[in-house]
Amino acid sequence: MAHPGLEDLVERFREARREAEADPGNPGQLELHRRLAEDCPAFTQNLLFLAWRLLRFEGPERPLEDRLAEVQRLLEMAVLGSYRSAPAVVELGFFLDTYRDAPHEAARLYEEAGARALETVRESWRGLIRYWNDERTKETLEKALKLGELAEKLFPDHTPLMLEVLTTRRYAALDGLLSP
Amino acid sequence: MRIWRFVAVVAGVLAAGCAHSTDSTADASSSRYLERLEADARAGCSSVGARINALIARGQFAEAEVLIAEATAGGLISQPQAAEKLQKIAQLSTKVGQLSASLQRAKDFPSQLKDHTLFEVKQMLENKNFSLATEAQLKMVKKLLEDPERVMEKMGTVR
Repeated sequence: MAHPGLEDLVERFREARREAEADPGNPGQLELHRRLAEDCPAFTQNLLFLAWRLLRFEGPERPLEDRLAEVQRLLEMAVLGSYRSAPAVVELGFFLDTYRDAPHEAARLYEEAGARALETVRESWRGLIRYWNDERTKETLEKALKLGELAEKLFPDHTPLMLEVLTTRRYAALDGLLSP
Repeated sequence: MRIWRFVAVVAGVLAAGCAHSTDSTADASSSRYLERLEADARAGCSSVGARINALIARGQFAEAEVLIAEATAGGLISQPQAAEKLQKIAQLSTKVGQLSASLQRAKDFPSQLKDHTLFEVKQMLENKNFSLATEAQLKMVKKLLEDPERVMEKMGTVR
């Protein structure tokens, strides 16, 4: 059977989300997420969503340990399939912390996820500050100065970002926003 | 906005804990210059790094390289930090003409800039000097020269 198309998968995910909002406890939408997970185990957003909803909404007729085992399997698949993306790693951390009494392992995962996510923040800020520098209006330079201060505290050792911050200050001085 | 509140909290925490260890690894041969650098490092968070960045930003690459070498030898900045700074200098020294041929065939590509470095392009933008190329052309070339680092080894944040 041909692999379902990406847009089709995302649409099915949206539909399940919509149903979940309209009728949170309905086991039908868990089925939608489950079928989606079977059709495409690499669609990690769905795995994360299914994992937590399953824990919250599946009825008491199924033993808790069974459910926990499935949740853990889903979260581990999400970590694997996303190549250890920050959202998947942090969710597995919370699971192990709370349901497996493994706070030390969880702490390692929190650290890993935090470091990953910070890299994304850092690159986003560099792009944003560069954009504001390129626009070079009073308003955008003021925004860049403000974010630059924060960037300096958070990422003092990241040269490309710090050089972009220096560009902001240079522009601000040249354009009369800062005393040189 | 929640994210900004979060960021402000994180920044506060990091700022509070940012006094770097300045345990000296410099040996007896260390110059007074190094001692001054260490004093700087004790005074503020990674101020040697900041000073190197300032030199790079001003285009004083030779001075920056000397300082990088001294600071690395003295253990004031780490090897990866030094490598990152040297890479940035190399990038700023890259000439427009060194971009790949396919990029240089892009529409409106300012081939008249081919012997100019990224640093010079940035200076033209800084001084609003549009005599050689339009502002849009300068910005395009700047981004093309700045971003190969994403595609080359690390793909930015993608590992």
